[in-house]
Amino acid sequence: MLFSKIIKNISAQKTDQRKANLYRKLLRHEAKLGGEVFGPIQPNTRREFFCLDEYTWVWHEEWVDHNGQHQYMTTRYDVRPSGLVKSQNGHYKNVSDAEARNLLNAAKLYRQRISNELYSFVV
Amino acid sequence: MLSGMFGQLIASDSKETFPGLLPENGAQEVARQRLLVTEAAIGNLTRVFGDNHYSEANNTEVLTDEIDKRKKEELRELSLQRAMGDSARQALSEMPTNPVKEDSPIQPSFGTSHDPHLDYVTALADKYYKERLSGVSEL
Repeated sequence: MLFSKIIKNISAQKTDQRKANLYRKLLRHEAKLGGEVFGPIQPNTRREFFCLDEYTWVWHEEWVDHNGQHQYMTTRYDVRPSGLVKSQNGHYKNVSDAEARNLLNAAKLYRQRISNELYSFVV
Repeated sequence: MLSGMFGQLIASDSKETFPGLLPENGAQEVARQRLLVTEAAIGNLTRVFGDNHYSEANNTEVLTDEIDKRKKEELRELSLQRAMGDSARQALSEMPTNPVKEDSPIQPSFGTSHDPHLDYVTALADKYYKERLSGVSEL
């Protein structure tokens, strides 16, 4: 009785862990696909764009500058009922009309790509 | 059932970590969860535009409010940390300098409600969480 309870518990923990791992992997893969919605990526550049949760979009870019220095920029868009809050490497920035519209378009393209290329098996 | 890139993604995983990844292993559930999150996120983003009525000017106010809010939060954290620092210094100064001897009739009571220092820390922690929960507007 106790033994089967322990086995059940371990099994449930393993399943949860597996799901958590898969969630992370899927998110990473989505980010890669998302990075492609803005067009071709330059060599020595890594671009990722993904939906973190229901209210947050993240755009991360890494590149090597002219001096061979590794640079990065993480842009986070927090969606609030009253508007958008953008922070770039921890600093708040304003969002222009064009940028906001681009974000919405990018988000829609992102959904299209992940639905077709990653989650087409979901019933 | 598993197709496209998802199939490739699964194939790249070791069998030990993801044995099969059939629906009963939760793959469908997790994928559906991600799709739902994305759908909700796009819904929220679309609502901000309110049928293309997004305006940079209005959004600037939102940004200013957000910065003010964060600044208040940071100030509150800082003052709380200072208060905690002062209290800790005071508590340390009040502590006996000689360690309690093993045969002493007075034994430390760590972990019980009779420890005055512990009571104080507990109260401070409660206050801290209450303040965090109560929001900036009450400051």
